[in-house]
Amino acid sequence: MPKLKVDGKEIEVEDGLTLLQACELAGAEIPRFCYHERLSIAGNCRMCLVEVKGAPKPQASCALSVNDLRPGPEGQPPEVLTKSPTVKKAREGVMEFLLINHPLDCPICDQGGECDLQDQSMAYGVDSSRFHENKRAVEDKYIGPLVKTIMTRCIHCTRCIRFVTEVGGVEELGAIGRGEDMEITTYLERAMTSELQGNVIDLCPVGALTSRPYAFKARPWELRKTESIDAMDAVGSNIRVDVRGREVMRIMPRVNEDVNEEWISDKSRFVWDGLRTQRLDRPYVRENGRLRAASWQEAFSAIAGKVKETAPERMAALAGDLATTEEMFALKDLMVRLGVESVDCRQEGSALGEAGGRAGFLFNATIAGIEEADAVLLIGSNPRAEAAILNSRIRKRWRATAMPVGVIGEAADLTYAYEHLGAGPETLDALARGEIGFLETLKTAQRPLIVVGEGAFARRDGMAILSAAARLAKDVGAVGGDWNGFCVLHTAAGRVGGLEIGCLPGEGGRDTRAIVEGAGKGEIDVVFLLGADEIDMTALGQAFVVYQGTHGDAGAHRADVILPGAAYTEKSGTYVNTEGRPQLARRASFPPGDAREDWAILRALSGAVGQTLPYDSLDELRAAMYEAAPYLATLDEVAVADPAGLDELAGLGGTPDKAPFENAVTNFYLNNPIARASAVMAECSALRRGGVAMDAAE
Amino acid sequence: MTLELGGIHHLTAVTADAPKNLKFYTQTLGMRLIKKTVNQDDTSAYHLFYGDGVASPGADLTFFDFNTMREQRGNHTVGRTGLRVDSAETLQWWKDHLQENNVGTKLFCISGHVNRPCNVEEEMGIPFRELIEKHAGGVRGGWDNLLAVIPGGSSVPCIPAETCRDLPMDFDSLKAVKSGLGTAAVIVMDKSTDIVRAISRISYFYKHESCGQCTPCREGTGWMWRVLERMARGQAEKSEIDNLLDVTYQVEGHTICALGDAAAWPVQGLIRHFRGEIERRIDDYAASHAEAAPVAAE
Repeated sequence: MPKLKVDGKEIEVEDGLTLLQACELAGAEIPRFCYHERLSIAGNCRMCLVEVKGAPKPQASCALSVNDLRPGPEGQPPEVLTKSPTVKKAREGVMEFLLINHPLDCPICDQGGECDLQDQSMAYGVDSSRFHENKRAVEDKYIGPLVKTIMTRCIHCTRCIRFVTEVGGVEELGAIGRGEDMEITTYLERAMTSELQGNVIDLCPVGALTSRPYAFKARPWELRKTESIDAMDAVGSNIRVDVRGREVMRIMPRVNEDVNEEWISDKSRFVWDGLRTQRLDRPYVRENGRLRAASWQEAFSAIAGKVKETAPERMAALAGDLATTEEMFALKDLMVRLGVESVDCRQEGSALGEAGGRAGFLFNATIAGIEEADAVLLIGSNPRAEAAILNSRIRKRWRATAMPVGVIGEAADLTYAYEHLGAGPETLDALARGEIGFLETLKTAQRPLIVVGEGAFARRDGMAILSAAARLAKDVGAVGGDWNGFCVLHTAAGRVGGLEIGCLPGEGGRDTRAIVEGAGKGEIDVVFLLGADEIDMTALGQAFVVYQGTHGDAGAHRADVILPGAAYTEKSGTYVNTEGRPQLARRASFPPGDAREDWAILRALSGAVGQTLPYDSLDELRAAMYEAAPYLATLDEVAVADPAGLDELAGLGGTPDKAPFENAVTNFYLNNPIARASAVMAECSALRRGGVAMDAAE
Repeated sequence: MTLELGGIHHLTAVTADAPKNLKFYTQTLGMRLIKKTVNQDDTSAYHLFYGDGVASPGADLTFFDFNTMREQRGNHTVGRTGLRVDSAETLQWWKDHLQENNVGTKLFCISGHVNRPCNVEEEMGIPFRELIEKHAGGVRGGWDNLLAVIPGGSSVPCIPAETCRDLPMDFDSLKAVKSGLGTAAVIVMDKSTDIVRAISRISYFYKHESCGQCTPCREGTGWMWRVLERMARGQAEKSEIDNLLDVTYQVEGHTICALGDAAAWPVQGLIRHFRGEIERRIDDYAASHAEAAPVAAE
């Protein structure tokens, strides 16, 4: 534990810290552009220079380890000055250099108001320029539909290059030329292919890389900022929703070390234009085959009429991917009161939750736990598409320790090297029998991770596969002590919440598959879809479909009655992520037109069908929900699942089919109704599939 | 009877300069003159024995003084004698010690306005004029035609002719005149040289070589070069000279590698010794462009 003196204050810090970190611990503020604690150290901006007593030159504090400081002649702790005239002069010099070729276009720059260069020039800038030459101008580059470039503003900190290479795992951004002619580019001006590329916008300390969809839309100081939770995947990334008036203008990440660190995926960040288009802003009722705008009263009475004439066993309800836990709780409650047993939240068609307890459907190792794992087996999952942020954790661990990764399923580009063991359940079986060497790798690992994806567990034989995976996990010692490496990776934000509160078929009730099949065969007459768009609507036969949701997507097209609901940014609700971590999404704006918050719609509907739910406010609903599932009340914390459940799951047995695993998310950009309404996501998707020609640089 | 070799008692070499040899081995290397005798075959030559404190056999190094030519590397003679030290620290100590004392030879590369540019290995500390005249055939147009010298490669500050004459070419002496021996690539400039233009060209070289990684060098080298280009024409303000000097200090010592320093020093040398020349040009230019040129709005 080295000791040092920062501006006269003596502190003792951990080994291996950089001098910059040590200075911050001592309360000294160190300006920086290139340094970022989650990226490798470049030491190139020279803004963080400090004076180290005894050193002939100012030192870049970001690139100097506290362990490399030399004590004084009598063994005194090394002394560091962060506010001395030398330091100030050095930083002012660097600032002047950064500004001589930086355009003074702050009034038209999207970074204005949240620009590191702007902020730091307040402290270290001078009021006039001594530079009488022509300023450098740099051609803008096309690097994709998400990130806009104004390269003249670039200060060459290389954060974007380091992020894309290290975290994103695609070496697509780099520098060409040298000296003052150095330029950041994707070399051939192709679009970046990382699902995390939007993060370079946050990383860019100036306005060189800005959000293309948000370009010239708003100024940071006119936005109302709400801290919320992302619903685009089951990671539960912490986000900040920036709203002007009623419109979501942009979405930014928040730091949560346990979940998303400080990154979010491009879908989380850029989906907001989908919140404005294709919206259901009033109820509709189908008459003579056509949907007609209706009042809430008309819509409710149409439903009530149908419900009254239908026997409970001929009714069913399905909750979709974006539903909050509260509304699924209310839905299940309402259905129970109506005597309806066929309720399911597992739109993907799995049987999760029917065996194995909570441990049987959670990512038990937790996302942060990936950084303790020393071997990973992915079964029927492409985490890059299903949970891009989680994938970056696996990559992070892989980069740090060269952790072995095995894949059973489709061989996709995961941004890290892996051993492709095979395609389907037979490989899993062969692995378990020791016919594949990777078993030894898993066995020798102290903390192996077995990740089962939707491509494996959502099949008809999903439980047999899950059971085999659980047996394997137990065999290789992935479960035991303080480690539970059996992990189920979900793709939908709402899924785990629904499983936690038991939004599942009751006694004799049908599950998703049976509901759809039943409706097709005419055994189910009324289907209530709570934002469920991913099932095959054409298979619903003649059933009377009520769709409660936000977008004119598959469900709304099939519906006989449409109840307009609120999107995840427009309501307060609990999302439980794949680890089982309940987090509260907060309302950032209001649903459009006549649309209402979903729990309130269900509450009003319950009155209309004569089974009034006993809660008049969201708080009362939450109280009832917490009573049913107490751990949901402990927000932001993972309630550890009892690993004993896995014994039951392992003992389930069953013979899996021979078909190879197919990844659940085939198109990262378009796998939910909001994303499908987003023009930005559509462009990204088309680009990924090669459907759109490259844009020329502006 | 077999002869058993228990080791080597001493190693003998030849020196052409006994007093210097004595000084080096006793004062610089700190060995002891343990015996002074004569060569048994040629009693006119000394035989000097140096050894450690107790004259242990095997630690001895001895010399005959014969007035011979300097040994030439590469002609199948023993060129080097190594002395073993006990650790890396000791080795470093010796390195520092020898460097401090400016001991040894240096490869000089003499270029520019000399009659016979050459590469030559010479003793460190040789006076500049001797170096030039002995090996490079003297300054073009005679000694009095010398304007300035860049004594240690393009990165070190130039020094004017009047400083050079008897200047010993070693690290400390050049440091004392605010330049450096550097790589000992001596660039000689006679009075036909446009010194501002010459330094501007060096500045362009460093601007071109800058990798662009760190800020002061990336931005500073281009700035310095552009100002110098104007100054070479005289198209500048006198106040810019101090600004330029300030910019060099802003680059120096603030970069990752030494290219920033290397870009700054030549400019510092120019301003230190030839400020008058720059000012003269500015005056000339102003006089010949009396009409103020229209300036575009910023």
